[in-house]
Amino acid sequence: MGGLLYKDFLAVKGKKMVIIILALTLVFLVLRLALPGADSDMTQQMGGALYDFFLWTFPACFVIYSAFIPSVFTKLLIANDEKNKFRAFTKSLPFGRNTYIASKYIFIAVAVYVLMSLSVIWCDIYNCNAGNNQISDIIQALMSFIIVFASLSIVIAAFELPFFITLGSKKAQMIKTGILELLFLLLVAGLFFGNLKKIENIDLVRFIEWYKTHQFTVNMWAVLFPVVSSVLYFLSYKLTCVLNKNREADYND
Amino acid sequence: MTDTKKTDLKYLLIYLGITFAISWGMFFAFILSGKSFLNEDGSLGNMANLICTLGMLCPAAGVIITRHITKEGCKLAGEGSLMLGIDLRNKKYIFYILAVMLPWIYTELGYLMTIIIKPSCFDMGLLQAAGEDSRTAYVFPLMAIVSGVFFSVGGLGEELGWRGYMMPKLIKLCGLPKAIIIGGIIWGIWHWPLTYAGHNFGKDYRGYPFTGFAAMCFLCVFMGMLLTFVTVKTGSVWPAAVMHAVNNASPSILQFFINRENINGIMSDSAFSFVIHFLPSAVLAVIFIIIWMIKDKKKSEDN
Repeated sequence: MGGLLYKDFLAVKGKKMVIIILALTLVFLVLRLALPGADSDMTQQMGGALYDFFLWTFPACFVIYSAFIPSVFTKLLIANDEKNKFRAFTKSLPFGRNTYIASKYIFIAVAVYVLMSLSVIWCDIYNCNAGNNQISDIIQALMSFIIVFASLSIVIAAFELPFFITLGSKKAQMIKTGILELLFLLLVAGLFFGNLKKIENIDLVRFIEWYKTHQFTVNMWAVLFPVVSSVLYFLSYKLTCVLNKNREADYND
Repeated sequence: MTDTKKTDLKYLLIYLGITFAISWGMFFAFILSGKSFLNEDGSLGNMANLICTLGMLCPAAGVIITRHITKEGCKLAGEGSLMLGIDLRNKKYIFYILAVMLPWIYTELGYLMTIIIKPSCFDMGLLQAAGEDSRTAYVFPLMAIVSGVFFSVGGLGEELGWRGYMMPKLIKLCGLPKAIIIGGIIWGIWHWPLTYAGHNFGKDYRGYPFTGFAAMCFLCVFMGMLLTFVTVKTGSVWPAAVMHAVNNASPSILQFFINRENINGIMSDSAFSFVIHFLPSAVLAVIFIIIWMIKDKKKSEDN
């Protein structure tokens, strides 16, 4: 299993990625320490407010993008195995097909865990020298949602992995693109025919106020969503094992 | 001392030197910067929060650097590995459940002890008075457990070093009972700069900072017992990492009903009350270790 995970780590160019992420984290830490944030009195500390506005994009983008990175990994892992005819090769190795499937699920779970942990560290770095202001409130709120974002990426992986492992990367990618295009069309239709006033009313300040007054709801989401997504992920693994039980031919790619 | 023991001792000293140098370097840099560790309300400051998070990752960094220097390699699972494998067979899953649930049990027992000693501190109306949603208190342990399991990276960072590297070497060097005490004291000493800065007990207690140093070692010896127990029983650092993280999240319902303003005398001393609060877990730890040692002795006699 360790060997399979290491192979997958190399397939997603893990070493390069680790170095880039560590370097970015260090740069972000140095920037945050060098550029202190502003307190609520913005007229006194305009520089701090500007620094905050510039620096908050780092954790915000990282937290949101990290929810979708595992999905990119899924395609890379399977496409790499197909390219190297790895699944045919696995038959000569001393482990079963389920171990191969499990390795993909474990790899994605580990990736989600690492990205989620990094998200927390990036938010902590932002907050370490931030003033007491609205943007630091937003980052605090974002931190509460990291677990929800991570669960979301687990749910996405739970849906994608059976397709990618069973059908192969090309067919699965076509299905994925089809679903995304359908969602995009629905979004466009919504923009044309829906009630746009709802979008106009989206307000971050109101969101923070809602977050502060609905702590119980947020906390319940933070408890239930990860549990439900983990159960779904396990069921997805079981389903993939069943789907691949009698697919000897497909393993020759 | 045999050659193997000498090598183990040398590797252990390299690990301790590296880990203490990295983490204490960071802790002292923070202390010397003059920034406040705690906010006015006693909560952890933002900078202190980051220092704690990064500090918890230092033992893991220490292990990786040490293994690189000593050429021990970074095998994920098995003998002499980083102990990152997960094996639930042979009823080992019980220890994972124990790792998740035990902190909840002993934290509640700890607060129960506080209430027994000072019944006047129990205040049912405390939450409403603070304007908080009382439902939050009842689901808080679950939240702490879930966040402990998912955000266990800090716990994992420490456990990779202390339970994954230091304890196996210490057990080989001086046997289980001595290893638990020596390992706990080393782990406690590692916390000293943070204790000095006000972590866990603040600064307003009798005998600051020395009683705090002693209290930290006491906590680490007994907490180390439980963490070593689940690590050795599962052959993995994951249950210890989760247990550590859940413990740090303080999963308890009773804590929301303790009015600290009604606590006076010796119990208002943060270091002393911390030790009292931790007594149930110390008792549990001793029970687990005794059962473990008796079972091991029986096994070796049967063989």
